[in-house]
Amino acid sequence: MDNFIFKVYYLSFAIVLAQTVAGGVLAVAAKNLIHCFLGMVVALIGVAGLYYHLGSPFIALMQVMIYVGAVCVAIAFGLSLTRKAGEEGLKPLSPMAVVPVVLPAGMLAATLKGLSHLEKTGMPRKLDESIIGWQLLGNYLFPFEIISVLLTLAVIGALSVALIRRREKNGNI
Amino acid sequence: MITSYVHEIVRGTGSLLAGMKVTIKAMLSRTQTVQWPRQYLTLPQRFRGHIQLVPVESTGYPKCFACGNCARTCPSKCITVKGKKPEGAKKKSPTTFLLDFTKCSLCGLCVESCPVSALGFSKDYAMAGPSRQDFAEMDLLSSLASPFSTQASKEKDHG
Amino acid sequence: MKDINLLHIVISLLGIMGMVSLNAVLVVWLERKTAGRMQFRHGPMEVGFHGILQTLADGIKLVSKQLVAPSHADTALFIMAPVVSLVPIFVAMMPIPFSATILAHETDTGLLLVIALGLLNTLGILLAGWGSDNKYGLLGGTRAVGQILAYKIPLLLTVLTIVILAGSFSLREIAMSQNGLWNAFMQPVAFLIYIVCIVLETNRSPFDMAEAESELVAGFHTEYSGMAFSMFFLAEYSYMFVAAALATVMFLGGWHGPILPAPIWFILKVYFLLFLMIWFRWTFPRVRIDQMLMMGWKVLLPISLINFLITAVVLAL
Repeated sequence: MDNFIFKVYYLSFAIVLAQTVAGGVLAVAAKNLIHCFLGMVVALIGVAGLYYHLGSPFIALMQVMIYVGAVCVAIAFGLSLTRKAGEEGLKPLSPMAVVPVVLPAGMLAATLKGLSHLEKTGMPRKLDESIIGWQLLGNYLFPFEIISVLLTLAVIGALSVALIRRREKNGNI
Repeated sequence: MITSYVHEIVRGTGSLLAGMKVTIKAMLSRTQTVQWPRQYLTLPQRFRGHIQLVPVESTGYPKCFACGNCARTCPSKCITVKGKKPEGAKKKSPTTFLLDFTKCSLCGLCVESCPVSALGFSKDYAMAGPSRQDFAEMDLLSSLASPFSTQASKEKDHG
Repeated sequence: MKDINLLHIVISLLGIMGMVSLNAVLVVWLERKTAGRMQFRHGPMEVGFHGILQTLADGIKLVSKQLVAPSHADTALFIMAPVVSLVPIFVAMMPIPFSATILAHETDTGLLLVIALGLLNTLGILLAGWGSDNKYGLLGGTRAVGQILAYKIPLLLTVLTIVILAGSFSLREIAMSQNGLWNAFMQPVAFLIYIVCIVLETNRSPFDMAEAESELVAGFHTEYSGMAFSMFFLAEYSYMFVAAALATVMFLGGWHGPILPAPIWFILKVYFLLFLMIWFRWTFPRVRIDQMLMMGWKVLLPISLINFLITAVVLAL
């Protein structure tokens, strides 16, 4: 029975992996903008699935909520302001596309080779989610606050850019 | 400014609640519609359905004496009347009284123009038929007794 | 890995499928009856006792109809959209606790799971609007996307308020923590905001800008027919159920209640909330999209933020 469960686990891991890669390829290669968007959503959900398989449902759900729920929706909102392109099919790949494939593959191979002599010490164990919170507000309080300042700056920047545009437009009228 | 903000929210919530009170009251009160083929409403006295011929109470024959006033008055020309004297009678009686209900606008001029009040409005509103022809020539005589000695006279008439 | 029992998951999925269909049949009937009574009509009366099987008859009619895709539609997206809309429901129903013991799958992060999967509905609507090559569909889809930006933050803030009160993301524990006093009485402001947010989330009147019959024909599902349309329909009513169940768990004390057994209390509370949403729909006129955005950003967001802040401070003291 255990063996069977592990087979199911590996199979579903493979499916999620394939989904992530396929989504990524679609996001890069599709001509139609909405297909690119869809590819990105599929890839991001796939990444969430990978997190889940690696034993962290909390991060997986956060991935779905933030990337699919917020980032993709914001992108979709931007998409709805564009003209609908009626193009179909995939873009022809340029030879330069080899670089972003080979580079991370090489890095991954190097990492795996470097780690291969290390011993396996056991399965990853599931932590209580509240530890993440305590860590963020304890040991990592400073970077956490820096990130909030960064986000505030981004909001202010976006506002000021939008306001300057509007003011210029009003001036011209 | 902050007070007007709060005031706006409170007022808005209040008006929403008022609206919800109206609908829940409506929901708990009696329905106004009836389940039609099983239940009938009593129609008002002056309901105007299609026209019908009024019978003489004693005999059951139509009051109409086929003067043709109604057919002449009708703005849509949707009434056809033909008549003759039945044997031994003083007045004519209609042999054909056809209403083209596809054209009739229920104006009621025919009823008003009838010198002997032989026309009235029916209370029949549940009218449906499979073909147009069912209403293009509605035989208003069919519901009344005929003063003619049935078969023979009708055949002669058509001829 | 050992704690995942496949048989258990298959059985609970079947149960959820039955639940979803039964719920749709009941809620549609309840909606049509309520609508009728609120307009002094009877509502459906012919099929079954007081028309209770009317929805079933409609469902059979829809299933037997042809699915027509417009000639210029993006067929892949067009077919995918209703599936994307409906399928997350089956997972989102899993952590909902009908009582302390009746739930399909217990996770520590049940609340997050339901909320994260609830977001995929908007994705389905957007894909449907875009894929059907119809201007009304496209407008409906983009409206749904604009809407999500306005309500998501207040929704998450109210949810967070409850989470810090209960100290857990697990739906079972949140419900257990309100054995005495319900959160609806401790957090009335959060409860009201959450109610507004779930009406927004399920795209129901007065916030049904995405379908807006009077302006956009039928919005995102203008081009859909047959089974695909009924999948959207099922999805809408199932999302209503999930949102109401979440509200029951977070604010109305879950399955807690006197006399009656726990699951019955839970179902009663959920259907009370569903009735509330139906009541809203047949009372309020549709708001304009700018009014909705204004409300989302200028009313819901600041109030939920202040409410969250006050709760956090009070808890810290």
